[in-house]
Formats: sequence, structure tokens, C-alpha cells
Amino acid sequence: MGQVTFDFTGCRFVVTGASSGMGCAIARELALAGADVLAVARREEKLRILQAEFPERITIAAVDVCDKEKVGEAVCNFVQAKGKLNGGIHAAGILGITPLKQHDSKMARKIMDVSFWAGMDFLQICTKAAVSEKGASYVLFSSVDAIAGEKGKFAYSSAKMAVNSAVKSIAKEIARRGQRVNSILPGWVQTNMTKEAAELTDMASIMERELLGVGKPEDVTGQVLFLLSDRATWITGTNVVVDGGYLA
Amino acid sequence: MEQKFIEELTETIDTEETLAMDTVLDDLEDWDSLSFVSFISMANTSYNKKVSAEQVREAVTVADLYALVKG
Repeated sequence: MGQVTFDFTGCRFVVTGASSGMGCAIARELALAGADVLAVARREEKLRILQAEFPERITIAAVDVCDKEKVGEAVCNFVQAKGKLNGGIHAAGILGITPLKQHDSKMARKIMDVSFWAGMDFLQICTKAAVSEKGASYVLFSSVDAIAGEKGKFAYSSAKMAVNSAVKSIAKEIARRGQRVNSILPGWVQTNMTKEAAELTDMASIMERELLGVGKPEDVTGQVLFLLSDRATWITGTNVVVDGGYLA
Repeated sequence: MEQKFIEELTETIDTEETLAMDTVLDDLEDWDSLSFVSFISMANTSYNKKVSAEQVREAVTVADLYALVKG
């Protein structure tokens, strides 16, 4: 246990991309902090493992985050059972390598669909007055790649920059109910997603820029929980970097 | 038809108040500039009607908004 602990007793959150990496770490930490969590991801078996850790706290929905209708149904069912949301985290994302001269355009579009469009649908679903409490807080995953381009990542960088821009616009739309939305820009964090990408990436140049070394999911989740908490009620429409010094 | 319109308008304005045809728009806390443009978008996407800002500005009740999209 670190120096800062959170108490989300009586709060309810939705987490996408909850079956692995940072989404999974956030769902776990929220449950540990007493929140009820709807964990959304495609892989049911992984979600079941997470749920088994916190059967009282975690509800699972094995749906594709790009299927707006299914995500909406899952959120409505959760709200009916547990109560209105105090926030949500869109952590779902895919990291495909798309070199300009020869890229899989289907994959490039899928990257945009999962990070950006599904994120917008997620906010549309979760910010409704019928679904969420006043003052609810939302966090969307961006990346340092939105700011510093890497070879072969134009689709990923663009999708993440789109997220950064969108939260500024949406912050203005949802502020009337005291709701907040921010994006978070992690640096290179060790997850399954980055493990696969590492095989196709010039890791030496990345490691040189990671002043504090490669991150762990827990290095990022604290900032996410802070943004969701009542200590961050004056923070909205901003892009928060947690990158071990990558952009320094 | 009217009921469906009211349900969709409730969602578009994102209000928890119960709307009826005689609800006065200015009495709704959630009828603001964002709801205003959201309604114009709703008229276009759900009813295929191009509604002008002036027409919406002239609307006093929910029924006035309905008149802009029906038919």
C-alpha cells in the first residue's frame, strides 16, 4: 500500500479494456477502494479471472467496445442493478504498427475506432442524466505518442491526439452537470499490448527517453484514480501526462 | 409518434424532468444553447428536416418543436 489511498465506497464506475493491462489494473484498484465496477472487454475468460478476485465488487460484460448498442445495454443493466455512475474509464485500445508506405488500412481504421470512436460512444452513453450522477468524472486513455510521433504509428498517434482534442470540447458540454472529462497520456508501460509492439519497435531510442525507466500499470493508475476522485473536482478538459519523463 | 418524439427529445435535452407537449421550453433548466443545437441535429438525423436556428428560437413549447419535425 502506498502513501495515498482512495476510498470509493458507494461509487460506481465503468472500465473498458478491463481484461488486461491498465484497464484491468484500474478495475482492480477501484474494487479494492470499495467501488462497484462494470468491467467491459471482449475476452470473457479474462474478465472472469478478474471478477473472481472481487466477486462482490466487479460485474463483467463480455462485449466489443465498438458495439455501441451492446455497451449501452451493459451500462444500463449495471446502473439498474447498482445505481447511477460516478464515472468511467475508456482504457480499451490497440497498438498496431502502420508504416505509411505499406500499412493495413483496416487495422489503421480499427485503431481509430477502438481508441477514439468507441471512446466518444462511451462518453455519450455514460454522461446521460439518466445514467450518471452529477459531478461524475471520466478518463480516456491517450498516449505520449499523441505528442511525440514514432515511426510506424501515425494511426495510433492520430487516434490518441483525437482523444486529447475531444475531451476539451466535451468538457464544455458536460460541465453543466458538474461532470468532468480528462485524457491521460502514459509513457511506455509494460503490458501485453506494449510487449507485442516492442518486437517491431526501436526500443533503444524509447528507453533512452524514459528517464525513470519503463513504467508499470500501477505507475499510471494512481493518477487515474485521483482524476476520478473528489480531490480533482476542479480539473477538466485537460491532457495529463504520466510518462516517466519521456516527453521531458 | 408524439410519444416517441417526447422520448427522443428528453434524451436529446438530457433532462430528468418529465416532458409533455405543453411544457414551456424556457421553464426547463436543461434547455440551453447545447440542447438548442442538439435539437437541430436531432431534427436532421431522426426526421430528415432542416430546421433553422430562428425556427427553434421562436418555439415556446415542446409542441412547437414537434411541429417543426412532423409531417
